[in-house]
Amino acid sequence: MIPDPSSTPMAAAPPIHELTDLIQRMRHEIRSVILGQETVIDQVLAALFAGGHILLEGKPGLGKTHLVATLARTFGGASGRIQFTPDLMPSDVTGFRLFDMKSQTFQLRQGPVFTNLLLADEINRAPAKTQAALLEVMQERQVTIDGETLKLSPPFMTLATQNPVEHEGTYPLPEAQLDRFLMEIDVGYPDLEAERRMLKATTIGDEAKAKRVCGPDDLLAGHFCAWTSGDWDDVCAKALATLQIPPCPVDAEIAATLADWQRAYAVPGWFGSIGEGHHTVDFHAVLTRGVAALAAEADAAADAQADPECAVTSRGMAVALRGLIAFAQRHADAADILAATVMPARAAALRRIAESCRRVPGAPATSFFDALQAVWLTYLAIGMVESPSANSLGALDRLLWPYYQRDLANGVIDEEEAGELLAHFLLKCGSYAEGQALTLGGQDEKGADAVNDLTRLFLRVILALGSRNRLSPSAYMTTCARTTWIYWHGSAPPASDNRVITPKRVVARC
Amino acid sequence: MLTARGVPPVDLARLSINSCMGVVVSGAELDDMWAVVLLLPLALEVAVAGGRAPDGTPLPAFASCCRETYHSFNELFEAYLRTSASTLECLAARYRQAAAYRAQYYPNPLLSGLLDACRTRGLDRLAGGPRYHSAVVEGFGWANVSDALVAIETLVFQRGVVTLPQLLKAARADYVGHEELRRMVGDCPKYGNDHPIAETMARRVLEAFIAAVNAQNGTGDHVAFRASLHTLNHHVTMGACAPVGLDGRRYGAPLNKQLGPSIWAALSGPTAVLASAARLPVDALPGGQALDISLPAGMLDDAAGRARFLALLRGYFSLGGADLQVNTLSPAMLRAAQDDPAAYPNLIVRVAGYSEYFHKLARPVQDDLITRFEAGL
Repeated sequence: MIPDPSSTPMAAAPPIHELTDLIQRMRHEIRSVILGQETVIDQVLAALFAGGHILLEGKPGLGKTHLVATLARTFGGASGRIQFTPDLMPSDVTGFRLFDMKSQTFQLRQGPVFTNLLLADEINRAPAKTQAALLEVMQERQVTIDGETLKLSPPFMTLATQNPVEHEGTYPLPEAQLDRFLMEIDVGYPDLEAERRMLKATTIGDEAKAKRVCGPDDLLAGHFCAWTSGDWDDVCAKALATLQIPPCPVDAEIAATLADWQRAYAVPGWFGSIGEGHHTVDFHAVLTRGVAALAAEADAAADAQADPECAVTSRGMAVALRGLIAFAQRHADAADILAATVMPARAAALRRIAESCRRVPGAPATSFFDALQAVWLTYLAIGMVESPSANSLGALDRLLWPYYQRDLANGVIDEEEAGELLAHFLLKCGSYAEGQALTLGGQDEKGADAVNDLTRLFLRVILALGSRNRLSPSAYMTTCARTTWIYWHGSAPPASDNRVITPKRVVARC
Repeated sequence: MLTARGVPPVDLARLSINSCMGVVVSGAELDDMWAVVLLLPLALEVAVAGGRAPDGTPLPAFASCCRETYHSFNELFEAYLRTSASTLECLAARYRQAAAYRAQYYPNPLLSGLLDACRTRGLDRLAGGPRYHSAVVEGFGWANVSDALVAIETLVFQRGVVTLPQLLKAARADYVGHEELRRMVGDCPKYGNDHPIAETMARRVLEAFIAAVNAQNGTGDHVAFRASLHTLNHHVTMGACAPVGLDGRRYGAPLNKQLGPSIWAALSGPTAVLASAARLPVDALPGGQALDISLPAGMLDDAAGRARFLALLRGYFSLGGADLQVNTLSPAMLRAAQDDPAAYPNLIVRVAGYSEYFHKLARPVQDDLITRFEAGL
């Protein structure tokens, strides 16, 4: 990522205010052409002056190619584009030597990487060998063809794109290669006002053209200025602090005791491990209050916190919870795209999912369908940031019962459809985090039998699926009989948990 | 009582099964299963050895816990308690350090934001944010300890047929050359047979373990240690490297599994196992505390068999049993599946807190299950 010092005109490094001014002018020019992508433009400029490469993720038609060409125009640089396809060869990227019959010599044909700004479109469509050829160029900023090493002219920046849909037949970039990129930027849709201006500009021919505001040398000087200005030690300390997480401290006396044991008895690993914990998150709050309300509560708590660290922690939770809502929105976008493109036969079902994801889990659930969708999205999101094997589902028959009961009474849903939704839900959960617990039955807060019609529907679905989900019936014999049936069936050996004694356990533990 | 302890009764209705076998207050609890694993037979061996390593070297950390010689069974029992408590204290302190470390360097704002009351407290899920933070202490080999203590009390302190050093020496030699002593140890009452002597000792060992775990609480911080006996299938792997069999267990053989007895010790059938387990103080333990039993393969094929099974379930739960895990597969089928996995791709067994395809299990775990099924466990 660090610019090649040999290519950096150190003596020509401008003062910081000139660099700031340069960036402002480039930003202004690009913004006049690329509408509604202000954040993306700022991120691209930051990466350009930091000497890094960028991975752009976004749907087709959002102006990624246009952005690269416009950026090149602002500093008079060259730009190139490679459309990655499964049959693209490494030599199509780097170049090759061709035997010239006339001169009877090998002539160098430089590949598209010999440019200043390279757009590597849909990089994940080419196999690993071709990806690796580009990634090596990005790292080394040089190309070796038939033993001859050729340096690229600075500045050199790659902007690779990945399409978030249509993953079939793609070759995802390995983690190690993703590390070659300084940033991964999501390019989303611009707002309506930007779309209106774009429509006008493209239909009446009023499209702006970016002006050149500097030359490649000015850009290189800017590189150097960006890397050398500011408090270098402070920047280093902050960067390294994010990398160097110290090892877990162990008290010397404890360490000595444990070592004594292990030396004496050669019993490895019996001292336990600090896991990430197991939990069943507050699905009740997700369903009845909605995640937006929980985020607002975290924000309010942050505002009211006297301790700054606690305030930051609450604020972080608010951000993460809003991230969950954004995740649901992306889920909705994906379902809409699938409905419109890949799976028109399932368009109605996909659109229903999309509509649901735009409501929940942000807002409280108002239907059985939304409630199930809210639980699934929340469960999925938690598993993405925490081991999914540590998350359980809780007493879903009780949590979902009010929604099911209401929809049933209003004729919105029937038992067959609810059963099918539950089956889909359990299959998804099972394939995502195999074997996590679902609690059924038990007792309500008054100590009464909590088994309801949804409990029985869950049991029927579990039986039909041969699921390995855990079963926790109350001691009531109808449920025990159903459990026996499942044991008899043989494909789903569950566990029986006697919730009658759980109050005692709570008393004992609190 | 709940109100006096600051826990609203409404939390009772929020209890749910958590992961394999825990029970948590949904949406308000971080439950660190496997926070501490305490290999109880090791504590007993150290106590019997007078606080020394097998080569005779003193272990400074346990010198004050043990004696060179024991004049009564209670002296030995107290030494065992001090040794296990001292180890537990050390491990609990280590857990607290590690939890604080993870809270600082590996915070999880999304999960915390979905656990009550992290949002309002402004604290991560490992830093005191949730209303409950449980750290589960798994006691491995507790029934092996109980059986060993019965044998020691009977043979050393009551009948005087062997001294403690002699028994330790024989056990460390895996009873090679001491077959008669192994037979005598094996003949002593064992947990899981509905035998009053063995059940009294089992209860005493378990209550002492629970008390030692509870003694780690009350320090004013947010972590509450909970005693538990979950082993999943690690009773096999831990048994392979566990200390000597003062209860007569062969070197490397599995330890007792969860709430259940040692495989080779339970000789009186599943009803006796259920009766023994139901007498244990499981209501002082946090999770389901599973007991594993295996029923004859054809038992549920007819109405009479199913009625008997229902009666068994009802009987166990009415006696106070907590969590029962049942397999109804024949050992012969499991052996056939072991020999020809491709012929049994969908054969599922209840392993512990989870079910698994039989062919996916490691060979030692498969062997253990087959042996267990043959013993009705």
